[in-house]
Amino acid sequence: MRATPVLLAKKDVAEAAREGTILYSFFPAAFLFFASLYNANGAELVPRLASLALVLGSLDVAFFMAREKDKGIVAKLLLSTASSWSIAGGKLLSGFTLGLLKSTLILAVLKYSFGGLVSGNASLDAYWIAWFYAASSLVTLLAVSLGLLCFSLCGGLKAALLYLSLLALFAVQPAIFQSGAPARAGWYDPFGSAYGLMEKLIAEPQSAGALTGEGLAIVPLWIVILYLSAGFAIKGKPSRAS
Amino acid sequence: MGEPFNAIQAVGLTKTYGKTVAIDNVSFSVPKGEVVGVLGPSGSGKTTLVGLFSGIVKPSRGKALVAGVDASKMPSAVRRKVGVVSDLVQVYDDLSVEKNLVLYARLFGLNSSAAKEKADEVVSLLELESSRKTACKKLSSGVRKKVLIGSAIINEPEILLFDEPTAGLDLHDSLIVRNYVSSVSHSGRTVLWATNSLSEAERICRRMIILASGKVIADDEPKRFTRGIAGTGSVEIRVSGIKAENIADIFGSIDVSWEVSDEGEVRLTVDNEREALDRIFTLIGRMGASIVSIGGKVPTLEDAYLQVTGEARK
Repeated sequence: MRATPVLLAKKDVAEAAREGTILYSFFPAAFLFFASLYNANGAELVPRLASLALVLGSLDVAFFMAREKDKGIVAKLLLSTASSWSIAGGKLLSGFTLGLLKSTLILAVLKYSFGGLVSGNASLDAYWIAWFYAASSLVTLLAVSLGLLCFSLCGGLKAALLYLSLLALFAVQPAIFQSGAPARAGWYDPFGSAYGLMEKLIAEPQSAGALTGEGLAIVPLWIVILYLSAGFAIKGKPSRAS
Repeated sequence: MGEPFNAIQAVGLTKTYGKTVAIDNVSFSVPKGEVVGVLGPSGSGKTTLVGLFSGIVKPSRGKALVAGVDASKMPSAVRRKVGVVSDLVQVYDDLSVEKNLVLYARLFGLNSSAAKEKADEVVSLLELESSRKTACKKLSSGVRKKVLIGSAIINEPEILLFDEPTAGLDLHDSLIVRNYVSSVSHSGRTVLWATNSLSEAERICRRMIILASGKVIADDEPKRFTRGIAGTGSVEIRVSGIKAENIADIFGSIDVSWEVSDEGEVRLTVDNEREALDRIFTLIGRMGASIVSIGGKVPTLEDAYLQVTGEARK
């Protein structure tokens, strides 16, 4: 198997570290931390806020795609042996890697804020933590793949900024306007399903082992669909020139 | 299956942007090992043509074939054979020169140490040593252009598609790039070089394709093109020691015009053709006359280019 996505993801993560954009990773945790200052007992808010913070903090990786397309970097990559799938894969992988960092920071905030929510309600055992990383990875990958598709379709940076604001609204809509994730999100609402996973995991930590709901099938399926569509979009419209 | 003879071929190639026709039903082919210049005024379609052959721009009609493969469906096997320099593509500006080169070498399948070695080679070839650790965004546009060229040649492609590769480069760097292209053309690689510089095209290209409003208006060797469009020019020879009344008898058999000055010198004007000049010099020598001066006007590539593009503009 070609290592192109790994190569591109490594470059993205190294670049984020070097340029300081990795500091964006602190944004979700800071978001949660400040929320905890205003509502230390608002445990019911936590799953929504954690999901919301992860989504908002993940769209930046996808946004880099718009920037790279605008500059002609994506067109240049396509002139190498990198396929559109590996370019999208690289972004997904870097989003996932940075997502792990964000999840770790969120985990730390959950332990020390909201009245020690996690430590109060659940033992931070490896099993729960593994499920937490799994759920937050799904939320992150979903946001990155949706962002990738939209930014691969848009023509330039100006359009991308508009898409970014619309995306943020669409992706966080279930958490904000629907007062949290619906009890049973439909197949058409992957964000609702992903939020549902987070909600169940944080609100009912003891149910971690029972997280086998439909969200676990719907969300990865949507990630694959969005990733493949982004690959097609990159392939079909590689540069500002076309 | 044998390798196709033509490295590059346009077949009824057309590209439109809305109602604007950027490339209009263009057909030509470039055999392997040829260096071809694409010239034309701004907006004539040079960049679009390079974009079409590199697969960055999709044709509206027709085909842009590279190594026998439709460029719009270029598989990775063909992409390995092509190196593209164009304003339509860019390297990572946040990465250093060296990291960009290593990344592209690795994307072409080299392992880490081989990629590093290859990057060193390109850095040395393009004289990028002093900026190898600097992020591209901190470099001048000329050095960035060299990095782009470096990333395009790092896999030693068989076909080079260069759009204004020396634009923004100083004379020394332009010479480095031209020397590189000359050397690769001797090793049988094919180069499509789009440029606005006639002198550059004349120096490195064996053949020139001239575009105007997206159409090919000339396709020839530089010398033949100049001669075909602007003629051979004329030579003026000033001679002393010939009596005015003998001129018609001496030069009557040659297509030459003459004037006699007040000082008694004869000014002969003849086409810049070797045969005619040989005969005139022989006759002058035979008469024992002296040549006072020789001058003339030989049309340049620029004359021919301006003539042909001026006509196309009208």
